[in-house]
Amino acid sequence: MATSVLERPATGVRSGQPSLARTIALEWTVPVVLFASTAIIIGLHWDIAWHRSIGRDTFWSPPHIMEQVAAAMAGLFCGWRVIYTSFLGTDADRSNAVRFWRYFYGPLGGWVCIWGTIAMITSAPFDNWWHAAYGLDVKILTPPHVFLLLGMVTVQLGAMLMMLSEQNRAPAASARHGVMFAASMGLIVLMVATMVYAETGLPNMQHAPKFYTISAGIFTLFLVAVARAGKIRWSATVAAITYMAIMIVMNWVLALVPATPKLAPIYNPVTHLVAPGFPIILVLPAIVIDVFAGRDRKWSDWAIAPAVGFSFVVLLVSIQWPLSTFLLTLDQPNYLFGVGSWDYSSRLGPWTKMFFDVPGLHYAGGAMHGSIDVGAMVKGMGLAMVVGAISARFGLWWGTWMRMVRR
Amino acid sequence: MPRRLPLVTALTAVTILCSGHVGSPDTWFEGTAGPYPIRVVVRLPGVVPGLGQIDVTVPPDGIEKVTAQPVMFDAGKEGAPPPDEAKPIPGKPGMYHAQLWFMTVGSFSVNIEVTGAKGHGTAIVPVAAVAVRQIGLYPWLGKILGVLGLLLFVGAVTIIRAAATDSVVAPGERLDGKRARKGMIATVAGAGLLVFGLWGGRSWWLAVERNYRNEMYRPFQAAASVGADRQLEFAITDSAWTSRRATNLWERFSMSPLLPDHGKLMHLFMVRADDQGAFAHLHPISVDSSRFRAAVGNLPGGKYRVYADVVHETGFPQTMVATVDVPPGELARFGDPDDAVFVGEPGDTVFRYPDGSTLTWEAKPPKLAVDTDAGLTFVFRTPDGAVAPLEPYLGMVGHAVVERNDGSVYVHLHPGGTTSMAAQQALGSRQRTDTVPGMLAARIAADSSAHMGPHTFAGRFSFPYAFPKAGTYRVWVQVRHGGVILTAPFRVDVE
Repeated sequence: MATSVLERPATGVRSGQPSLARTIALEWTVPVVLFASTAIIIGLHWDIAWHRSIGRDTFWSPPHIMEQVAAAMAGLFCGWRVIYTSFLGTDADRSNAVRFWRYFYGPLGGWVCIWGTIAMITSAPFDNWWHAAYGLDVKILTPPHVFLLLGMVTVQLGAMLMMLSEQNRAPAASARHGVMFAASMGLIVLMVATMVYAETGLPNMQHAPKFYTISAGIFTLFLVAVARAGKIRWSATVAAITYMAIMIVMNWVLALVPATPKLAPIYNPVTHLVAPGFPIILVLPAIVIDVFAGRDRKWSDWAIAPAVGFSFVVLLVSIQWPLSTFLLTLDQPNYLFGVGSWDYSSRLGPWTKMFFDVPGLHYAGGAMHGSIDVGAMVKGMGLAMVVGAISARFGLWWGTWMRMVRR
Repeated sequence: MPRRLPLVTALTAVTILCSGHVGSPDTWFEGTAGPYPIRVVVRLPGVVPGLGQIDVTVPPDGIEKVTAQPVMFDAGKEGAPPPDEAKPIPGKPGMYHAQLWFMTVGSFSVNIEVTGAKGHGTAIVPVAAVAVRQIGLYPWLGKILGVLGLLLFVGAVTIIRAAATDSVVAPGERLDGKRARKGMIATVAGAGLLVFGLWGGRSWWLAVERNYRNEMYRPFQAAASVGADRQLEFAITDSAWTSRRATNLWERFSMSPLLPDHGKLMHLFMVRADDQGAFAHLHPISVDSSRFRAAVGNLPGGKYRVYADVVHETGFPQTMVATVDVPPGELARFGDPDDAVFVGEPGDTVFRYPDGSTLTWEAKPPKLAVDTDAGLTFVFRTPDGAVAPLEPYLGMVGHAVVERNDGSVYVHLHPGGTTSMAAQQALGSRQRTDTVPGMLAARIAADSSAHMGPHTFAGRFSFPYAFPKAGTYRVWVQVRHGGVILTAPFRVDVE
């Protein structure tokens, strides 16, 4: 750190009473970015439901505005924190920050939030031009949309990193900071669960090895990392509860909002927004992950990783297999569990109550034929365990780094 | 990702083609919706999926509701979204506006339904939704994205470095040499990953661009020649047509058989390229599925632009374009009684035929502007000055051909607008059982009512149209009087 900076006076502190500028910069940013991270993922779910139910939208649709405003809030508050810390704050403030381009100081998470906000803003004119040049995208994955999604995830990562450094600087006993950090990771778990929704989201997919492989690959990474880096005992559990609670509430709320499809062809005339579906019961695997990978375990990380991979898949199979079977016996759509609400463009049929991609089974003429190929199933689950173990190992590395983040 | 792509920036030219016409993308329709006379203008976005703008004009008295609905040829009404209500334009009684999404490439009808005191009526306006617009990255947007992209790249590298160095140092402590070295490694590795990601994004963008260009509409390739026997031979040489293999969506709609429009499979126009001083309207007969032949009559020698209008069974219209050298010579007869040739100078507002009768462009605006109603109203008078009735020419009172002097705009107009009657028939009479190519075409060809109409028309008639871009145009108006086809050209400057 440059000595000239250390000698700078602190203009923000006068007569022991922190100014409003200082309060906004140092205290408000934390809840604001946590709120932004939540609003982004809720806005995204609303947006997805909009596309699945109404179809037609503009840049100015309410969910889009919610996402952009949330990101802009995170960016603006973090921007103010940087300006305050760099030019008005105390030396102590600056020593809690990372230096950027010589003159600027801010928390690592703040920089990440600002980056994500700029990325989201950049994607807007790019996306607009894209529609003018190539037409409104039928596919969700286009370069400007991926860029937008990258910006959203980055704002969420920034929020998580802000919670992390707050937790790591707080006195050891601060449960509040630990819970906020774990919850901010739960929001990211919800985001990645949303990204892989097409492969994992429906109960119909939850007898396929692919579901277990993707879940083991994605969720163990984040849950192990938060378990390792969190200061509270049940960090991964809190993250899993955050994910599940928001999903369940979204199901209940979205399904109450009236909606009419506005694009052809309409095969399923829905009357309300399509619900995202029942969450994966991540809380039980998360408890096990907290037990195995929590920060105070004495096992080698190389032993923890395979233990996590194995137990995660075993638990997930023993929960999701019967649960998805149960969910598919329900009348569709089912409000309480949020299952069986299909897109306006789906041609409904007997397939809506059947399992997809199960080795040995194939769907023809409205019925499922064949019998489960047990060999392929076991092989698939074995692969899921290996993927889970590798992912857990990366989660441990990531979590170990996160334990050190102080600024 | 928001890096400028050399390929994309190179595409600065905006090309506007439209199936059915050349350089005149908007659809103008004048007709009736049940008891209501109606005018409809459909402006398509030039990209698909995209938002089309629909303007409807009806006499305002007693109108309760106007709706618009896009119906795709092979999906029919049952696969169409619910109709959108067209909203009245404030301060302009009788004018309504709606926006419709055209989600896929293909042949559509925009069904306009009018409800009012006189009851209920529907008009079918055929439009072909195809990608015709190619835009490059706007220079200002390129600069903004370039600056933001650079900022994001440098910012990301700095964040990676900070994550590996400053952020893990306890407050107040200094960075040691080992940490700094680790930071350097992380920075280089992170920058490498970012470059790799950018490269992936660029490849992706280029693939989208290639795919889009492949899906863009271009008229079928064609070739024309005129031999010493003064027979024009027009051949569709496009591999999509000759091999009957569609490689993209719009080609699927143009694979189907041709549909006779006013009883002719092809309406072919020739304009002398250097001065627009010679003009022919011919109806070639098919020699085989891709070759057509017609006599050029007394057309003087020279280089000509050729426009051949056809309509496919799907209601998808096309104008094929070619150039041809016509050798000097004469031929006293045509192959088709509805063929006509004209050589001569244009009129400004009045054109006098050799027998002394006249065609007047009534109330021709002193200045014509782009995208505003061109006011193409004409009056036929006999030599004594009386407005005289006209006989049907190809089933209607008159035909007009509009061409910009460089050939970049061409359109064939009827009093019913820019749309083809055959396309309207195809879209209106298609049934779910019409699954075999040719079934619908045969039914329409057999339906003789299409050729029936009044025996005479009033001598005052108009064409709904707006010029799409500035320049010097010529408009040839063709009518029939006393059994003779009369052609009258007019010169127009559009600002």
